[in-house]
Amino acid sequence: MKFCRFQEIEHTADLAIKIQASDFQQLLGCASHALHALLNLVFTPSDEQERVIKLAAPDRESLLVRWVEEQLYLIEVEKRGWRAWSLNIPEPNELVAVVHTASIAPLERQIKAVTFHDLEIRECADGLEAVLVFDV
Amino acid sequence: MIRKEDFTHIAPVIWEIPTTFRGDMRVPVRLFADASLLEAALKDQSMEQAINASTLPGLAGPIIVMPDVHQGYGFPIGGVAASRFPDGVISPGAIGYDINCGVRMLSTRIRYEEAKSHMNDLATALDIHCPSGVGVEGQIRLSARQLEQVCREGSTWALKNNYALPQDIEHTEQQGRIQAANPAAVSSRAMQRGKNQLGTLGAGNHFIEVDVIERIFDEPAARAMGLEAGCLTLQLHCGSRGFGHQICSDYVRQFQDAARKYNIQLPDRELVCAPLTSPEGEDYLAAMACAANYAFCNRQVLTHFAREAFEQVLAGRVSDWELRQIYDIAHNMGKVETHEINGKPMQVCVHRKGATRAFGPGHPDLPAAYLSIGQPVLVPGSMGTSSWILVGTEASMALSFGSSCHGAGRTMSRKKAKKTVRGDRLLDELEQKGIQIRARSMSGLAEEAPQAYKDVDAVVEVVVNAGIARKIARLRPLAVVKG
Repeated sequence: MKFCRFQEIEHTADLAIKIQASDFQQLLGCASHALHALLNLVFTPSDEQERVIKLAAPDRESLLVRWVEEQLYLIEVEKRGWRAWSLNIPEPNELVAVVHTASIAPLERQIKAVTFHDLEIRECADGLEAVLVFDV
Repeated sequence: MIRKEDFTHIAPVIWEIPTTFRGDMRVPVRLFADASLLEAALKDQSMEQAINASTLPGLAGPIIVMPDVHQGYGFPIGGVAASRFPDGVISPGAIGYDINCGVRMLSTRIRYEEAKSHMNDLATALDIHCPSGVGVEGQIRLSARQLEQVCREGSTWALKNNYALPQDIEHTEQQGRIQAANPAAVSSRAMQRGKNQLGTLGAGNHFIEVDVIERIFDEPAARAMGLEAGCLTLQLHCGSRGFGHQICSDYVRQFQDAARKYNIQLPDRELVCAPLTSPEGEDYLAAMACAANYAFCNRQVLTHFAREAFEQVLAGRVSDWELRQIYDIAHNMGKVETHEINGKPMQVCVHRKGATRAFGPGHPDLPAAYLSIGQPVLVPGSMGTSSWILVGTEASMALSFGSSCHGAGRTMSRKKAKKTVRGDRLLDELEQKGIQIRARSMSGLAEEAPQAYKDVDAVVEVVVNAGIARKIARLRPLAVVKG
């Protein structure tokens, strides 16, 4: 069964979230949902735009980081977020996504970057899990 | 989990974890702390991260950990690592995403009594003149060519464009310009993020603060810095904005491959590094220098806006409203410096992440005004508590690669701070203490509550007792603009 769970965990200075999902594809989506929650992303009425994102990386952890980096870049530079997405993993460590972006309200919290700190995608009881640490 | 018993107490405020603690340690870890700050350092992952950093190849001496240490990512905040040049490594994660995040302080001859009734207006004017907030863009729109000039010239660009006074440049670490900068090493995404953010404060723990000098501890040194008890000062804390964040992100990602290529095994992927003289290492140094120059220039442009705010509010109301630069220092930077190691001068790349350069008297890199007293070390407190002006010492050159602490250091997570503190109540409490606050969000204010930080006075006592810095002046906050 597909699922996505995430929760903020203690970190002295920055932000850390534990994400859990049924498989890697869900884990990527779950990271996006978690990011939206951490930033309290609010979409404003605007024209939706569609764009295709293709990413490749040497391993799954790097691909996860790149996926989140794409969103952080769009949020800062274009003030837009991903309202919805469909995601495919044609090859291991590659993804193709069609994302629907929309304008967002000004943010109250800054996330500077997503880090590789202690990043490892592990198997858990019902799927996969990882901890993402963000520099804020 | 590291325990107090794992440390060797080698001096009253110096504790060491020897290389025998873990098989992959290449050098010891040395912590400056009193008993209480040692306990605080053991409450999070700080010391594990310092031990992980001690596995970096080519280190020239111990990993140094300051008393304001707290957990970061990969490398602890408050850490110093010196790698041998040219055969050591450079690690972007050991410098941080906000490259050349730093503090600038300016002095005035404005007495608190004459400005007291204008503090509300001054806080508002600073808030209006100095753009702040998440992803905020400034008044300056740089063309690609202008941004490349900022990358190469740093604060000198600001001087050429009438955002600086000559003394500002002289009183900036490295005169606000790192020579190794090469914009060709910077990605188009970083350039995109940097072009509209020059002259902005940003968010998080960045701030502008007006203080009053509460106490002078060393009159001659204070005179050399233009400090007088009862007069106002201004502090700016910010860095290289999205430009630097993107450069660090790009290189941490690229260095994942470099670490494999050079067969460097590390316990944490955020510590990835490359040999200093490898193509990857040289590219990062060139890009990091661009971000460092951007940050110097950013603080300089903000200084110009702060001067406009002071003039708007205080011209004609006080006799002299001029802001004179004391110093500007980085606390997230990697720099090639010469240090005496085992009795011999050696070139090393000093990574300082949440640590301040603190060169002692006589160092050739100091401006003439500070040659006899040592480099100013600026230590902001948490919002509502003291800040300090210190100077570096000869002992800092011997004990800490010419480094000292950078602030109070967090002790409580942002999550817990928001659960414990209500932003609106904190605002009232601070205003009742006579501190004007301008903040973008109440939750952001709660995250930065003084309770979330260590006692900055205790941190300062440790670095002074260790001999790596000397007290010059203590400041009390009057107005804070939070990013």
